[in-house]
Amino acid sequence: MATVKATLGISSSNALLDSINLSLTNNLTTTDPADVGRITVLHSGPTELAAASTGAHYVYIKNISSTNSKPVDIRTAAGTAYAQIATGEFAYIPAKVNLGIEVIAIDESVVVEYAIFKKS
Amino acid sequence: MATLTAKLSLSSSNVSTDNLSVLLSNVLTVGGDYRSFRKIIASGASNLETANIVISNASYGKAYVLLHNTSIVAAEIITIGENADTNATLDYTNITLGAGEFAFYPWNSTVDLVADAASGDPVLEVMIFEAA
Repeated sequence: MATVKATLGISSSNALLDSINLSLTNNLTTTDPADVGRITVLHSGPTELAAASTGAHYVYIKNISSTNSKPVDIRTAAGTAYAQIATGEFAYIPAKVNLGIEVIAIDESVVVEYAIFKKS
Repeated sequence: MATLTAKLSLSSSNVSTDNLSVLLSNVLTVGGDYRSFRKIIASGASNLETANIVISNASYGKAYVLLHNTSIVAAEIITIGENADTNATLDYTNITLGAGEFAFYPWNSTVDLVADAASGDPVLEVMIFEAA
């Protein structure tokens, strides 16, 4: 088993009249396999990051495309999209057990960075 | 329009033989509706669409969503998905939040965001910033 410390910060000085400054921290207990990488995501078909048999996992995915501004859909391995990351955006998701994660680019291929940590 | 800075840090000294330290940062442009609230997610709801709807897609376009299970009870797991059948079972699911866990992602707003709890009545904290 391993521990991954996840910290999320959200701040804004102009979204509301008052400032927003939020920080959340969670120590994640994980086990093998772990996967950190960068890949080109096609628009012609989905790219699977975690199979449906992977179990529950923590995942982040960031759209780092520098050649276009096309978004990427984040979907379960069964093809149900629930998030979309534009260029520069990221998602951090504790994915449900045995649903998997796949991504598909919209219109043109883009590059994403990701990390997947299996929940212990 | 306004901006929202989102930062995610992931670090570990034992997930691999090398230390892991990842810092993501993104300045998001927001300008639509904003809401922050706490919602009790009842584990015994017979109609999830009415009892446990977290965010209605009719109210928002694309939005940045923070979901945080504030429970400290391990069994009080919150599952996120969609329920169009107005019954006690989510039609499909995608995210599971254990006690203390959180998610932050650009929600695509194609369907309602509905929750169910495995046990008890955990409180889900929600922040939603509609994209500009």
